[in-house]
Amino acid sequence: MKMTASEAILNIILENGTDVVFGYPGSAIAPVYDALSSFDKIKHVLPKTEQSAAHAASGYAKSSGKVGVCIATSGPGATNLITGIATAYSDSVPMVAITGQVHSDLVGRDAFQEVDITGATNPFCKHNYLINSPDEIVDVLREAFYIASTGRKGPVLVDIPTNYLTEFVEFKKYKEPNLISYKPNYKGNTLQIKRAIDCLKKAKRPLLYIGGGCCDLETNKELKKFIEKTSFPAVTTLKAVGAVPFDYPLNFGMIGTHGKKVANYALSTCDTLMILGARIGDRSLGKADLIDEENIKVIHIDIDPAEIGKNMHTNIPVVGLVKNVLSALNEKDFSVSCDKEWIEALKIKNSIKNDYPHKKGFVNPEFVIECINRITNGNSIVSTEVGQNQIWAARNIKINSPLGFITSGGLGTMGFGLPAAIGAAFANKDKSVIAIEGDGSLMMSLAELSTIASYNLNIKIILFNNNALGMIREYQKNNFGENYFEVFLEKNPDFTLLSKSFGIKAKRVDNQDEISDALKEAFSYNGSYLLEINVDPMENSII
Amino acid sequence: MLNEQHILSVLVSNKAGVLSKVTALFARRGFNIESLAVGPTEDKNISRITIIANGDDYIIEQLTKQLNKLIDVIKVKNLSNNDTVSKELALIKVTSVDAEKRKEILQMCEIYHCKVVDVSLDALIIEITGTLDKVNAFIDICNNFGKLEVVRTGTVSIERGSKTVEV
Repeated sequence: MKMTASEAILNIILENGTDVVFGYPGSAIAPVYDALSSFDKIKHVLPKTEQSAAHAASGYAKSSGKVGVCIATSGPGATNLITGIATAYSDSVPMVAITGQVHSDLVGRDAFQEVDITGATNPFCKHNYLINSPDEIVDVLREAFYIASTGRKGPVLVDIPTNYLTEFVEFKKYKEPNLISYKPNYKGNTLQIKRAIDCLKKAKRPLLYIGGGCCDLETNKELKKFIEKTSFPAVTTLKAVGAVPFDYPLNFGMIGTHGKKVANYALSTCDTLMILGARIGDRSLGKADLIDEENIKVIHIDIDPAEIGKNMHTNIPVVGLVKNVLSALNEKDFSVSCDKEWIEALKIKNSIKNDYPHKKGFVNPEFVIECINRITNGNSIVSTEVGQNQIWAARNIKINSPLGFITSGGLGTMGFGLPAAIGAAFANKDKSVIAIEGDGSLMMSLAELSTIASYNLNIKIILFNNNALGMIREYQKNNFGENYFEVFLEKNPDFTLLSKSFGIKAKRVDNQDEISDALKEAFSYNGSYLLEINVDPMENSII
Repeated sequence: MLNEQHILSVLVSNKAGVLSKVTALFARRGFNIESLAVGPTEDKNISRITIIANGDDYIIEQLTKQLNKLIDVIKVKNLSNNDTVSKELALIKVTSVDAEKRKEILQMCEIYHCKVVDVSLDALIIEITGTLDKVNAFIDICNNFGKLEVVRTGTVSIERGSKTVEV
């Protein structure tokens, strides 16, 4: 069937199950917008900058399991996507970015709004293409979706000269792309799986180290089965908050520099570490000497062979989809006798209650998260910014779904959370979406309040306002002798007034005893709501 | 771990932009390339990049894995532990050469089995093929005869016997 390249692009997006795209028009990409205007099956969302479009596509992808799509024009439109693409790459988020390029006759001549976006994005996208002929478009775009959503997922960029977008192309029947150079090893090696079992059988203090690779629904099902079968204690990375049921008594929470003490204690005292879909980032390990590498056995299961042995020694590497390897392990009969004293010690450490200390006129942020848990019972989708707000949320928030926690873990991109929440809201019409904000991060994507208002989204914005870049303030405290510089945002706007000007209901809370009622009011309100919470600028996030 | 020289034979899709992806990876991950040679293979859709890189086992393993991650990379094979034939070609122009020196250079060329491919009144161009060490040694000698311009292809390697680097 013949159709314009622009129509073919939209049909391929739809073919992959993606029904919402995030983008910003411009002249080079205008033909796609012309096609979008009459293409009812795909909704286009217009944020206030291309960067937000990419973040929103990330939020959409992370909370739905589908491929997120963002669209931008050539030149500055494309470069504005970059931070969003790099953010998605760090967190292995499936994304296809489509950029218009200048007319094919002008490519390479420094035309108006021309940049080498494939060159620019090489280091931080899974793959990219500059289209050389309209006839390539259908195959390349299908490849792009295939590469983005298989193996270790990630962003793929397709750059298309504007004149090709109006050409007629043949829309062939779908056939799964067959790439000679791209064949991920999905099934774990049987022998390695057997070795893993033998290793687990000998374990006394086994620990599951759960990463982002466990955050799709199918893998998570196998993970839950495995946890039920073995009753192993588990810790999670920042990316895997929500991957292990919050109420599982041996879920000891988030590890790392900003993690829970008990989780890091478990990491430093285990004798067998089973790493599932994680890359052991420097922030997850915290101090390098946290793990006694000489004396523990490490089983590392990951789809990306390059992550195995990169940051930590591995005794038993298993390359494959975590889902498949766990499924193979679940079928095998074996039992492990854990060191009961160790488990008890972990449980005791985990039971220490937080009494949420606070100064007068300020609210303890972790108490706020606890109050949110009581209201949502883990059924909301939570998106965070980057900084202390992210840590307070990640350590305490109750999330029931592996798709329910959206955060910029690898790249740590401020300004990510609000547009990501918008993406999540479009992917989950039936769920409530919470955006956990800090004042610094909110100011980076402030304009997206307007997007939230214009699409009548139901996002509860929880703003921890400490009038500071809190995490860097804390960093200067710990590493630069409290020499605080450029971290206090004393001239912040009046956020509630500002929010109202966008058409979003807002309220400010200064007292801890008012927070529970204020949250109830915000959550029972039908529509977006910004709750500004006054937090002590000296509040810390490392425990 | 020992810092050793490794020869990586890399098959890639013969497309625009692939070489820049490969070289960018070296820079980005802090790997040092000693030499790099690119050319088409018997299959016109596939090019071969021969890379000489220094590193310990960890670095070479990472390098191989990261190369394999590139979608356009079809196959990476480390030839260092295999019995291989490795050769490089260099063109060496020696200038400011008088008749006396020219004679000496020609003698050296005979010893090193290389060819003089161009002669002018005060310069000559020598073509030498051989291992990295041989080429280096010859260039050292030429340095004594005049001002040099050296053009080298980088090493290419192939396994001995019937083994091949296959897709």
